[in-house]
Amino acid sequence: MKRLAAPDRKVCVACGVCMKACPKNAISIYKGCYALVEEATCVGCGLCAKVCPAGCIVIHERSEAK
Amino acid sequence: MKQKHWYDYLWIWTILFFALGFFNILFAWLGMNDFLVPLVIAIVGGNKAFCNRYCGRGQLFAVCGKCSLKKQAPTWIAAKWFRYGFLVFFLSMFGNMIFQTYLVAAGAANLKEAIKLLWMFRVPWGWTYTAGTVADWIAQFSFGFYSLMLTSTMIGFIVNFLFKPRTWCSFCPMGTMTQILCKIKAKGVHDHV
Repeated sequence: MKRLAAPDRKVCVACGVCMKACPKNAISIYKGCYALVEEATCVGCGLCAKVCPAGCIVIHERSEAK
Repeated sequence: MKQKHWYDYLWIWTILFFALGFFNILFAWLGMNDFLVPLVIAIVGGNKAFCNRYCGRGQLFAVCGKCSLKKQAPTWIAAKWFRYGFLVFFLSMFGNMIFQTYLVAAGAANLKEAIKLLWMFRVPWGWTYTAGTVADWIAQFSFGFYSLMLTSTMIGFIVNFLFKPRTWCSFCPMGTMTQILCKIKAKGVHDHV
């Protein structure tokens, strides 16, 4: 897994659209505040970024995301 | 394909809600669920389970996602100034609706059997109510609340078509309000929120 989804917590509206779209169930909404990606599970497929209505998810190369 | 749950079909409830308002406006009171349940969940549970799982309107927008250009909305639509501004505007309109209800209750204004779309266009809606069925203010609130629900859904469908499905969610006043409540609740425990 070379890529990782990284939601921008400052922009995220916590709507949960990404959570529903994630095929690996790697996303949860942290205490109603923002989307939280479980790094070990995320495969960086980009489906969440595609559906995010706020456009706040970017797909990073794993080395960059750290 | 993810497993479907009962709450994945709540979009049917939203269609039913609007359909009922075409027959009897008093059903508009049922829409209070969409106002109170998210707030209770956010205040008591400290989460946005309503937006995430139970929002029938959000689901309806997703179901209608085929009729969407799927373009990314401009960044200002999810920006704090716009979200908070829209929340203030929406709450003002809600307050105005409550005030109109109060005027009718106090006998200072007559019941208007019409709904107002986009806060501007008055549409006669009298066939959904027989005068005298309930107290005038109860009917007035129904017309006002149904107007608010229909207006927000119309705006939602416009942005749903122009941009990605559920773009409404990025500035939905209820979503903004519940996120603020969740952030306040989470702040005491986690400073990084």
